[in-house]
Amino acid sequence: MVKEKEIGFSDIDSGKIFNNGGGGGAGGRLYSYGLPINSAKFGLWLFISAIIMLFSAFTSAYIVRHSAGDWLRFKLPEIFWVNTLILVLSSVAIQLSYFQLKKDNLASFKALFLLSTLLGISFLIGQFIGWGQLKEMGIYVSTNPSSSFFYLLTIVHAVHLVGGIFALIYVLIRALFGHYSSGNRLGVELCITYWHFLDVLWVYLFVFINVMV
Amino acid sequence: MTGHEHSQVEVHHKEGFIRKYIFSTDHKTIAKQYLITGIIWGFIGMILSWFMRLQLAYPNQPIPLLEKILGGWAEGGILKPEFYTALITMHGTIMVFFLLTAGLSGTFSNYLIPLQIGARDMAFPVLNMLSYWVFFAASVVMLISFFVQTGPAGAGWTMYPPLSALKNAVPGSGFGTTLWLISMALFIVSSLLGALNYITTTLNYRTKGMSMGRLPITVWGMFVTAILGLLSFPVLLAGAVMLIFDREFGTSFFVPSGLVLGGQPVPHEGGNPILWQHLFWFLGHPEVYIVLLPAVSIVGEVLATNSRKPLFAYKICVGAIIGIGALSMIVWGHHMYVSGMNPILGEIFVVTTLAISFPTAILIFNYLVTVWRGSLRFTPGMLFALGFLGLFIPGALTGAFLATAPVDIQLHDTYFVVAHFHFTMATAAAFGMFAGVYHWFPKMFGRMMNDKLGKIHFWGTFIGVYLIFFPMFFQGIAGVPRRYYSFTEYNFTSQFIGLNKFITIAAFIAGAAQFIFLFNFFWSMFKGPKADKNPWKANTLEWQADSPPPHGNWGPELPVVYRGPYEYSVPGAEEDYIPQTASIKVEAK
Repeated sequence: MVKEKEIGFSDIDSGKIFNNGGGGGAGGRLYSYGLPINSAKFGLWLFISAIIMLFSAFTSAYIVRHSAGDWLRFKLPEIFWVNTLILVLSSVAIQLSYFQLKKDNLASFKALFLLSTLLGISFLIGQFIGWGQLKEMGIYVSTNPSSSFFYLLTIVHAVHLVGGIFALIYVLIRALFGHYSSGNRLGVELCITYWHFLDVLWVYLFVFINVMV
Repeated sequence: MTGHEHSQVEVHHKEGFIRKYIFSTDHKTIAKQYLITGIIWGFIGMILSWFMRLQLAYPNQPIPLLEKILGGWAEGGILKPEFYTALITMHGTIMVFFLLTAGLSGTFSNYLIPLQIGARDMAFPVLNMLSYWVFFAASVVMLISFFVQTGPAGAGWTMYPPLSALKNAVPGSGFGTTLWLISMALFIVSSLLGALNYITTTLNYRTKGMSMGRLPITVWGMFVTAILGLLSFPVLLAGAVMLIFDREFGTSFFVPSGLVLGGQPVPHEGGNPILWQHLFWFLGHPEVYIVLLPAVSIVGEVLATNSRKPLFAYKICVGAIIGIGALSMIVWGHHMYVSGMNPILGEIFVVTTLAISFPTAILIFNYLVTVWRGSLRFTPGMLFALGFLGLFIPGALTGAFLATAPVDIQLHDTYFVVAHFHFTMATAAAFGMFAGVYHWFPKMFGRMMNDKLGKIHFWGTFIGVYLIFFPMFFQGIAGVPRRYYSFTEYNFTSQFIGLNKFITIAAFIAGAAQFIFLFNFFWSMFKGPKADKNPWKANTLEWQADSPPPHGNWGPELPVVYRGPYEYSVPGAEEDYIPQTASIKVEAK
């Protein structure tokens, strides 16, 4: 017997509908089918988790190789400490710019965002200077596993950072054309999340390298 | 925020040829692009295996035809040893990555996820298009490596250093390996873009009523696969980047000290080839399940539909798939028992590997119970789904031997392993893919495939696969090593020359059966009888859309889901299936 009757979701939720044990069915929920997060933001977090896996692979390889000995210790040029400070400041600036955007203080938002972008670019320049100084010290990529790993980690981080800088410049240009406001800030938020991640990643790598000398 | 409520999709808008068929963002077109590219790769990979089989059956006997086809690679009609290793490498790479990862996941995740959850398209259609085209670029690079003077990569699909790390170790270690690494890097990017889409779409784009507990088993399989890919492919990328550093910048991540190559000492020192094995197999083992889970979930769906019975213990099936996925991340060491690893570490990997047989066995038993006493319909799709079980079960049982370190030390790198993984992941996954193609072809192209040709294809393939791979178990137990160019030197290997001829003949017959499929596929696409909306009388959402579904999949209204996906043969219902969209109340008599 089939009762052709329009039924509402409340019937489903209360489990009134006959369920043949075929899976799902009466247990199904009506509400909040999506995640409480924007799809693009969620996708970005997935991307970040992939990058985390990439660097966990590198750093675990580092630990394994480090424990095997024949590890040349060298002193990092001081410029890398300066670079770290610059990148942290860049992260702070971008967060401040976000607070300004939320309050619709667009002029200071743009100024701080520009500052953050410039700091990001100077970090990259600083990295090149640092690599140059290492080379002058006679420490090349192939000198020793310690230097190989140092170049590997910093170069792959820099590659991800270049992508971040492109994103910053893209958002900056759109911001200068007046695209963003407190009601329309998704692009800025995505950019900021990625930029903070790159900052945290760098601090992690830097601490890691300094601990595992 | 649920995406589909906010994004207004134009249901029918005109598209030009290029936007519609080439640079399309429509998930259905992208799925077809993946499918057809995958089929092309599958045939290339299969033909490569023919060359290998010819060499094994007729070692050192000139076959003039070979010289005509392969030119310099088979001067005088005898295959060169370095080309044989290249064949092995490329056969493995093509089949594992290009056919059974991109071809399988790319096709069915793209096609089924949006349709079965009631979405109009993927979460990020542009990334989805990019995913295909990056994969296409990876394909082109890999294809080019066949035409390099020194030949394609020859270190095996696992690319173990130092063979892969030193440019002049073997001819294939030169430019061929460089292209292999570039191609794989592109491939990893493509798979990452795909995985982002599949995960986000499954979680965020389900229609009203489609709770996670009502997802068809296929969507669960694709979803877990995407998570595995997202987490494990970056690790291979890390290994590949380090290998590129070793090759191009003279670092010594993987190259040990004291190697001498052609009388010259190698400048590298202090590297560890085992490190590559860890990085590779950290991907490599989940990769097996990236290949298997889509196939196994397609099989579950096809079995339930064609048995006219609910999938037995749906929730436990889902749990088993999640369990397999989780465990697959911590078993990679079982590929490395003979690498000299700490025996205690080896023992841990034995335990985790044997643990994975629990969820796997649960899943397979659930499938068997699903079929048990059902009203079976032997469509070609159903035959391939049943054939999957027939291949997977012996394959999985022999896995228990290989998982146990003391036994594996005897069987490692023999034909036993070749037989084992061809049963479990290679042919079983291919059978899952065939089941999916036969089952969803009417939805994809709006036409039916020829039933009789499908059945001939099934029996040819099924019997052929058994005749090819089952004898290899015996060869393996007798100690015949895999990847060898020729087995004429020693008695314990040359005793199998007759068996090798037999396997080669079987390989040609099974291969010929695939051309029946190829003909059936393309002929039916244009000339097959028109398909109804729901030719298999199935419950899931995609069968409520037109065949083929229009751009945007649904009419102006998205479907609403009222029940689970497997309500077949409900007592008291008028028909033996109740679509997920039916809002009727059924009472048993």
